[in-house]
Amino acid sequence: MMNPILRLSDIDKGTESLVGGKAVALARMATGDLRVPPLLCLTTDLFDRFLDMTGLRDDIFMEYYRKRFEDMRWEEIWDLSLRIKNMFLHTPLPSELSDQLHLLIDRAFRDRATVVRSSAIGEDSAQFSFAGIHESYVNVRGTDAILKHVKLVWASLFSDAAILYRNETGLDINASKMAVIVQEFINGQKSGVVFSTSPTSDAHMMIEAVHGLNQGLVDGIVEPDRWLIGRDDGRIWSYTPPVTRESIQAGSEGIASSKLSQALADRAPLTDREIQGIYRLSRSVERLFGSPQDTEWTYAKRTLYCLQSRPITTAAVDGDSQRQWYLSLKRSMENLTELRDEIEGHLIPEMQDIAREMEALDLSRLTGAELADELARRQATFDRWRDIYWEKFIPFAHGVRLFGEIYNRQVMPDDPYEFTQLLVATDMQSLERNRMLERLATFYTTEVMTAAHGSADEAEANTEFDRMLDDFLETFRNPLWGLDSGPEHRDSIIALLKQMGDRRHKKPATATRTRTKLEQRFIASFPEAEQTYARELLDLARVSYKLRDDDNIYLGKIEGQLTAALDETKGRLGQRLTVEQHNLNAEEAILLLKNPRLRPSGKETGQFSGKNVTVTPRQLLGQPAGRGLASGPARIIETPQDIFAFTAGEIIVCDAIDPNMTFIIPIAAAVVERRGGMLIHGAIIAREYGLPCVTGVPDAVDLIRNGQHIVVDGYLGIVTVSRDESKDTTAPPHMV
Amino acid sequence: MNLESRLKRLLHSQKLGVLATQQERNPYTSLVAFACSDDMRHIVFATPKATRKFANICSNAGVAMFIDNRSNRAVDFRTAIGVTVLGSVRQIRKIKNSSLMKLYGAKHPQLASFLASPSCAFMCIDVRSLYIVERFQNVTEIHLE
Repeated sequence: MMNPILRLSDIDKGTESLVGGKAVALARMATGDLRVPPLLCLTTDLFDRFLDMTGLRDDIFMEYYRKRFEDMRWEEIWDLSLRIKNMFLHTPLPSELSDQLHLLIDRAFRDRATVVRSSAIGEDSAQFSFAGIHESYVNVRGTDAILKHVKLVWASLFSDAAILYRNETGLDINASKMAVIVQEFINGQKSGVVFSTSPTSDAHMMIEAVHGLNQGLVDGIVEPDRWLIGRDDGRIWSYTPPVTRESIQAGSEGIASSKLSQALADRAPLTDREIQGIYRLSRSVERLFGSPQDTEWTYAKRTLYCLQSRPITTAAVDGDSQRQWYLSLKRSMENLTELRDEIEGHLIPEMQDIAREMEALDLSRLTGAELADELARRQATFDRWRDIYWEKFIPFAHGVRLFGEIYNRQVMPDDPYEFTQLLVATDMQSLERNRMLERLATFYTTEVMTAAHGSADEAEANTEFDRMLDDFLETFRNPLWGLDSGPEHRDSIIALLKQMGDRRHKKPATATRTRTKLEQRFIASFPEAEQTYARELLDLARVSYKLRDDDNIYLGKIEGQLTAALDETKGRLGQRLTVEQHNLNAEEAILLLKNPRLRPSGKETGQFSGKNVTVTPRQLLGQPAGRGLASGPARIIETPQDIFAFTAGEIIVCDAIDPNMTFIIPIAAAVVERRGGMLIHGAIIAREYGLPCVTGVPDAVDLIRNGQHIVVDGYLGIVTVSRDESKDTTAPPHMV
Repeated sequence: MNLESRLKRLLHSQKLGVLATQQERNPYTSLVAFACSDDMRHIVFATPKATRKFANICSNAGVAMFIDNRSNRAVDFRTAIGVTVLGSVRQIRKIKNSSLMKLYGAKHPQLASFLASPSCAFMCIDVRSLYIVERFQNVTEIHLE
């Protein structure tokens, strides 16, 4: 028989598989005479019933197993999580469940504010701490709002962090279940966490406290005051104040950061008497559970409440640095605003200066030894900026994700990527470059090519065209992608412009009216008092979106200067290199420059064993990233030369679309990319131009050959490779 | 695990496959116990001679066999692997000391008396191609020369 909801008094160890460890711990504390806010627990029975009655379980697994986990990048995991979250939000509770829940929740809380917390099976156990992994929502009022947030907590079982954590700890997603605690919200004036055994010393316990609510503390946004207390005698051993005191407070709905009055900002949140109260609480909790505990508490007026408690786990499973880095991407708005200032104010100007300084150096005048030193310097410079890119720029790109998550929660659109329509800025570097190229192409085909041969008009058109091309190269020069001013580069660019002009290329499909409407709908979804926050968030997301494109261009300029030095080296090495060895890196190039007798080594490839075996792809599964269906010959893009060999109507197949190469997209029929994700450049720009696009196709550039006829299904995310390279009878007309 | 390993695991772990034969314009399918050589070039099965499939094979040696690991659950849509094997089939008459026979006997020991019957034929598909479908729509072809 189904148990959809259990009261605190119904919960004991025997119900753990229904309510999760967090709820059991709260029930034990309540029976142990500790003050716990009243709660209801929505059980895993209800979770299962919801998934089965609605068919959502099948939909989730269809999405979840679309791609092998080991082939997924973290951005794709975020995408997967976003799509699953949207499925939860769009699946209504069946009336049979909804009626029952309304009755019970109304009766328990009426209009009182609540906290909606996760209590997954296995969460807060001695083996696994899911701290910060699943979602909790604070200050939620009214049964409809509570039920919406219950679905969001269920969905957090499939959050990016939860997927990664389960994979690392070997927990089976098929067996994962989520109970949800709906607990009365205590609007505490001071809150915090107490570790009954300090992480740094067995003889002490540690209290961390903040003014207001403890969400800022547990999310790492607000720095706490910290006390080290003797475990045996409760004596204060040390006290560390924060650099600045900040606070999270309840708003009309949810929570928000709030400026403290000067009096509070100057004062530690706890008195000695309150510290002793927390000391006693922590000792009682540890006695109750028989193991060291990490307990969240809050003081409302003079009453001390225990909000939750979990065993202190070892840090072994948290050791993976990649996951830690990934989790660190979850930035707050305040933190993102600081990053924005640093990136716009300091980092980008510095990158531009460095690229300019390198560009001014005439490499052809350097001796071999000097060129080797310059190569090493450029490689080191590029490595340093690539590190900064990972440390600063990529986390700042989380502004887009933060906005996407909040937009979907507020607006609940059918398309989980609708929010990207609000972000497209007109002043992105890559779009400006593409627009300039389009103007050049139009001028070339309408003025230069149509002028009568030998006429005054022709001479005038040529002069004007040269001036426009010089202007363009001055602004967007980049040897990395062949945009350089040498005569051979000019010829290649002109050949490309001719193709762009010949073909009626697409225009970006940015509809200002739609964008304005979406923006109004997003802002209006907030209560009036929070609309300023909504506008600030949108502004931040737009900058984040613009920079994630532009920063690649600036980093590309530095990489372009490294490439220029490599090209100079290759030119000097001449016949010592075979065709394959022209892909040599800086380290190899330096060795070759310094050792004239050295011969570079080749590369090995191959995978399927056995003689006379041909492995060919027929259908490759990726992620649908731009709607539409197109067929045509594949063009593998791996080097700048490949770009200039591109013919209008071909399909771009590449490892990753770089903003530095997006100028050919308007003349392409479709895009196929190995790198996955809906917010990557290839997907964004393909959507802008309305091109079919499939991303996240593993080994796309290895499995598809140049010239092979392929069909790109941007609705289903499938790339079909024709056996017959000249034509494909199964393929639709060129573009459908 | 790479494609080759996933494919070998499938062919060695599954006991039964669906054999498709044809006579004139009439296709026909039957469930057969099979075994596969390690190089995936030969798939063997046994059949009574008085069956429709045997009659079909005698008139048209071109066959297909479908082998998969579905479990009839929702996750199959993404996690199941299916392979269609194309090739031509022949009867192995000298089965004593045949390595393929040993392979088959090791995989299906319970079929020893069935196989020993004079009315039973031991058949081998010489594999020409394998079409592998994974994750619902990911298709790879392997052609053996």
